[in-house]
Amino acid sequence: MTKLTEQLKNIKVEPSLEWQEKTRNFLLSEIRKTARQLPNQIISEQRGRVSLGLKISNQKIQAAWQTEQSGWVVNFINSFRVMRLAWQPASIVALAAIFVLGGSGILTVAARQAVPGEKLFAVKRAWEKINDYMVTDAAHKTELASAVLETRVNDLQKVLEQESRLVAVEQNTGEDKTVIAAVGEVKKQIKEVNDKFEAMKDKDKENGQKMAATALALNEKIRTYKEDLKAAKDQVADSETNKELDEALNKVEDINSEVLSVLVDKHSKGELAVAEDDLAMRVQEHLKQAEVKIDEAAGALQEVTKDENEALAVKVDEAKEVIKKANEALDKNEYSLVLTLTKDSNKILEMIFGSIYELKRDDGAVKGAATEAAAGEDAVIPAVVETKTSTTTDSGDKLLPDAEKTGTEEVEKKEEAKEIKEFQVNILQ
Amino acid sequence: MKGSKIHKWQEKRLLGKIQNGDEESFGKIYDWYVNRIFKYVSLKIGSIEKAEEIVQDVFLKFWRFARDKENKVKNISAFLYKIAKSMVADHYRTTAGEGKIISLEETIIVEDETIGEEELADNIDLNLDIEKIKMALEKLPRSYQDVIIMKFMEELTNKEIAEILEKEEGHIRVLAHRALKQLRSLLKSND
Repeated sequence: MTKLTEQLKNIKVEPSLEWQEKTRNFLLSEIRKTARQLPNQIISEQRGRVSLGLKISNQKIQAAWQTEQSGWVVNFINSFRVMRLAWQPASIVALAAIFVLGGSGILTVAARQAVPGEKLFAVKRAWEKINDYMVTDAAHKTELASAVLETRVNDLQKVLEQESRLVAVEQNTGEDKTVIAAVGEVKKQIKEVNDKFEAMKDKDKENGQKMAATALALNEKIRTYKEDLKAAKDQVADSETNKELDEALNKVEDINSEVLSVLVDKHSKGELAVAEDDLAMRVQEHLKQAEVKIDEAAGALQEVTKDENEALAVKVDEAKEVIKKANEALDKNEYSLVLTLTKDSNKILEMIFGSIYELKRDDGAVKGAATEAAAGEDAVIPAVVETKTSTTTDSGDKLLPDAEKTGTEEVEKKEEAKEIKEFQVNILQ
Repeated sequence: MKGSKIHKWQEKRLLGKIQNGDEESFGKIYDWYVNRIFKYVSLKIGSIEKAEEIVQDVFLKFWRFARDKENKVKNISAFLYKIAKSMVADHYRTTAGEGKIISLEETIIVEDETIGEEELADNIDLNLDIEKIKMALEKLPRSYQDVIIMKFMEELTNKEIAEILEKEEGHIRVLAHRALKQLRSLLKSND
């Protein structure tokens, strides 16, 4: 005797494999035809671009509003943000010290409003350092560093807004040192967040849930930082500043990768109160970024000569292959593998972008990029690898904490630089 | 991959890609659902050739709808079954003499008629084959057919079936009970 429901379940009704394959091919050929016919996509993409423009405008308005508002109001909001983080006794003491010692003075208010390039900015930085010094908990230090990064990104937005106003009234001819300083401060703080996060990973192993909660909060924040930095990039025409912002974005994505690794690990141990779907979405978002980078790399190849293009195109294909595997791993819910493969792909892409930048610089094309961008042409270089051969930036070594520059890392760095150099030589040959 | 369970987040991801014109993602959805949709359609209409034609159109319609960024597909499975159901209904309409009368029993749901899953799984000693099932299914009201195929042959949940048939979940439980009862009696009488 077999249950009726069991028997129903076991009844097989399947189309032939031949029909399945034939129909699959037919459908794909049909959709290829419709893809060419449908104008909706183009319209939607245009709508997307319009909305991006509006978003940037809104950010500008917000930045302008903040500049116009009384310093007291903004200060109060900023203070509240810091207070929200301050659940540790040590930090309460730190905050109290800040408010008692300097919170009531005019100088304090002015310093809190200061942006990079202004004299009072040093005072603002000093307060932030005091606050960090007074906090002992590693997770809280990470949160605090992240809050300061938020301030740095806001500072950059303020500076860009001020610059665009000056350009509008013809008091300035373009971006000056203030913007470069503001971007530099953002990069410094990104490094700070990275250091604090790494330190937390070492120290907070015994408190998995707390580490998971901090990583989750940081993952959320990173989304905002990336959006803001991308919006800032849209407002910057200078290729060097753009390159710096690209490096900042790459570093943020690197931190995100580490943050996601922690989340995946904590989720597997049941220490993260997040549904698997949610975690998968976060990993997928990270993977999507890598896919976008590949598209950018493929686009950037158009700017180099045919011979160089062919050699680099092989590398782009290699990155594509890695990402394909990452997508397959994602389908199998193998999140750690997705993150490893994405990291591999990003490494290949960094080499590609580095080579393109070197080639363009050798051709003198980079110098003209700012003018081209100002003229509305898409001449922005998406990202540049930090190499020993690069003489255009001091950011490469700055991104690594001094304490971490051990012998092994030095060797690794040299090997990496050698590898990149060899790769570039091969392309040029 | 074929026939295996697809996660909600995977659905979202594939749908997002389809809206960007990604054919491969469509291919994945096809691979996942083609057998299920084929099973449903072929059991409903009883003709392999016609079922093949309908299934092909179901996927084409799905692509056209999902591709448009203005449209939102919340649940791929439910959406595909809905298209299939509607196309099967169109087929019935165009095929003379195959119309079915919806029974009164099918439409009236008694509130306290609640049954456990184990009650549905009554033992029956039948050497069931596809022909016998088809013959018995043909004699059932359409909504009973839907529930039998979706719940017992495709193993969809009551919630999923409720979404496809646009009925309450409780209604599906009762329908399933009645449908199985009637199918059992038909199979016994045919045996």
